[in-house]
Amino acid sequence: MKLDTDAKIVWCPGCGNYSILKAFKNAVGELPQTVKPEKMVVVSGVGCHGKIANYINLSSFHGIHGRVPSLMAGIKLANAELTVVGFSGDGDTFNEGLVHLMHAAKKNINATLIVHNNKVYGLTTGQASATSPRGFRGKSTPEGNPEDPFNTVALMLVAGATFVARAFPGDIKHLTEIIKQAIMHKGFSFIDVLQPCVTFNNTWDYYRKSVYKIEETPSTLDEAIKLAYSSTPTKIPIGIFYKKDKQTFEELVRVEETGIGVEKVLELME
Amino acid sequence: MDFSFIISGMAGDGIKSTSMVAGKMFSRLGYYVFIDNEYQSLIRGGHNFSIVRVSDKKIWGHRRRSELLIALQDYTISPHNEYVDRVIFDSSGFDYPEGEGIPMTAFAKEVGAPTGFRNAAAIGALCYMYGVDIGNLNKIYKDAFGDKAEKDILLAEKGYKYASENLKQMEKVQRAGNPKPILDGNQASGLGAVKAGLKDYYAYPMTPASSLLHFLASMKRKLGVTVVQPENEISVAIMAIGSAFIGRRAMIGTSGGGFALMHEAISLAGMAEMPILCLESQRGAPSTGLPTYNAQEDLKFVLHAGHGEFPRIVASPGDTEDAYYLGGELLNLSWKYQSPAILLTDRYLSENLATCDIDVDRVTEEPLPLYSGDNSDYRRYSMTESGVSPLAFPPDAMVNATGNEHDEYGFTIDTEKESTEMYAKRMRKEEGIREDVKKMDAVRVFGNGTNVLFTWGSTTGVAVEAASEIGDIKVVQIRYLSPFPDWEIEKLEIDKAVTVECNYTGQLRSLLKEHGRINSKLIGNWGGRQFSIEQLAEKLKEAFE
Repeated sequence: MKLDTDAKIVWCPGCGNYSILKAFKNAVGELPQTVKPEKMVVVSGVGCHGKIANYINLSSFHGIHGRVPSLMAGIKLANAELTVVGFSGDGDTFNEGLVHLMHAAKKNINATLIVHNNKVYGLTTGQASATSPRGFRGKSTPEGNPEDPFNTVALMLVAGATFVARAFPGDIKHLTEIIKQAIMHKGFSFIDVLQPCVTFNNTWDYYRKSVYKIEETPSTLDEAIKLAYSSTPTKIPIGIFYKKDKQTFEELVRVEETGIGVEKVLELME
Repeated sequence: MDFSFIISGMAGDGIKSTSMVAGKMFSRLGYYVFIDNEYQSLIRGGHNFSIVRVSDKKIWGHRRRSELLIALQDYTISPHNEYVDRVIFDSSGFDYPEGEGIPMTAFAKEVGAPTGFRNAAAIGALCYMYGVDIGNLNKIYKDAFGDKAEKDILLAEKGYKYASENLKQMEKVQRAGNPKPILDGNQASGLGAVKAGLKDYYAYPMTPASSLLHFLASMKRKLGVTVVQPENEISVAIMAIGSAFIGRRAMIGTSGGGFALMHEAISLAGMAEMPILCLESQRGAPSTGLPTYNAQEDLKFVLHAGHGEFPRIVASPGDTEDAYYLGGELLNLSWKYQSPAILLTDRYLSENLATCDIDVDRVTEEPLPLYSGDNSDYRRYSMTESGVSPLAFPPDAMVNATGNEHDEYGFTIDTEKESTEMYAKRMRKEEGIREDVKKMDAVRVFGNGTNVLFTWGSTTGVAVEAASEIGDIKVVQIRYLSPFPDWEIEKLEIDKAVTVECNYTGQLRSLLKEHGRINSKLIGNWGGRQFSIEQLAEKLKEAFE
């Protein structure tokens, strides 16, 4: 199946989004036959990343800022057989929609969220986000960001996500593999992608020097949290931090019965 | 026959469930019953009461005057004293020399039941006083509690016996017809929506919409509806849009504060052409306001829900049956026109219980404008004359939806010509909606004459009863508020016009002026209570003089 569309890509040349798009398309191509592209739905939020829905030849919903996890949840509840992959930015995910992210993880919706975490608001031309480092000088923080960033991986581990990973678009093969595993995981899978923004926060060289691959996925939540907090500005682990089996929200709450009809229910109310 | 009695006590005394049992005693004998549940926003203590009205004719509201008060707490007597003829009270709890005591708490102790069960003794006494066979009451307990009904039944029998030995009987009640279902307005709206194909219900708890969440959750397997309580109202509305995208009919419910949070999603639904039905049940005053009391203050708020221009369908039911029909009609309209619809109701109708004669099959699941072409070239937003683009859902076709301005395929655009055309396509749906609503009951008219009383929502029922006491008043309920039925207003012959609504500014009155050039006198109230029939009748007399 052809995954490209005719839409003209309008990201900045050199943007990390190209690699995420490429890795996703590679992953879809390499997925086992049981995952049919026709049964996939892509959801995106608002920000540079959100345009990705136009560049993938699959069903999609280009929704609104922050609400990607909720849209994914509604889609999965409506049809649990669909494979749902969400794309969302750091402002989207960790600022505007943090509550939805935490609850999607807590519920264990069977869907994948790929966060384009460039640690800056790109489309609104360079303000600090919840993942911008302390001291980051953006248009709204000319004297430097006064806040410390979220530890996104730790946040997801604490919320109860059953698949938590981080990747770097500079290693497309590794990112592809992680996307594949995330999609194949039954439950809420989260990938924090360290995406460079060439215009407002160019981190290509920085990440190339500082990321290293996790050799073995920790087997307990404690170890995973330790690993998440072991990250330093010069030593950033990428790979799968945690993976766990758990019943999905859809399995637990979807009502499959067709009901006895309104007439009979009214009789019960006499 | 038309009488009322009040059951009063504190939160935790089980006033609401007791009034329900009392109401069923009469509805199962074929009577019309209306129960006004008034309660405060607290869990224990305070003053809660239910006014139970029984009649052999259709009734719509509560009367100020009652023939009987059953008081479980001493301090709940004085607020009602002026308007009741007899007071029955729990004489093991306190003394009230002007009343007639029943040692309810002592009876509960005798049968080894907690104090909370004493209400059953009160209902038993009530059963005797209205000459109802105690077997009928026992059956209600058995149906509700099964094997656990034993203590309620023992207590009801004690109360019945005590009353037969000590209290004077009221008018005896005979069987008047077949049992009638008794439900609140929210439940009725939910059932109407289920009849029209509802599959998913999402809601965050908020009075007075929560009774729909509770009802659907408790009946979900019998109704075939998935019920989910997401993290907040924003997520509620967005999840419903997710369901709609896949072709599952979804509904959401909230009150004004929660609805405020949903506006962004309502606008998305308008833009992405996603049908969602929202029940908005109004409560008193701005902000947290009077959280458990009645109001009709959100009409103009709801008419402008969501930023930007897009078709919005808004209607408000006047009674429980109407709540059922509109639940169905609005879900169908919402899907036919792929636009958000709002069922605007209020505390008084949402939570009060009424017997009803619902014509179940008046609501059907109407077929969708489905796409029948080549699935490999599906255009979610195809240009049509009516503005309605045929529907397909994933995974049957590749569907691209968006909140951005878009081309026919659902891809983002910003060119002037295409943006102008797509905007107009969405707005053209308003014409179809208007033509469809013209074929429905956009208004309901009660009575004759040129003295016209305009109403909306639950005030309708009270107005119909109050007007019939005075005579020579035509009550016009504006059922559809968007599109506003100016075609119906034009037909009216009006000498004097009055609008009655539970708000300060006269929001319907203002719409009547805007759409129908009608100047009407306003009867408003904003203290959180619906008018009693007597109260409104007095005001109507003055207004039409």
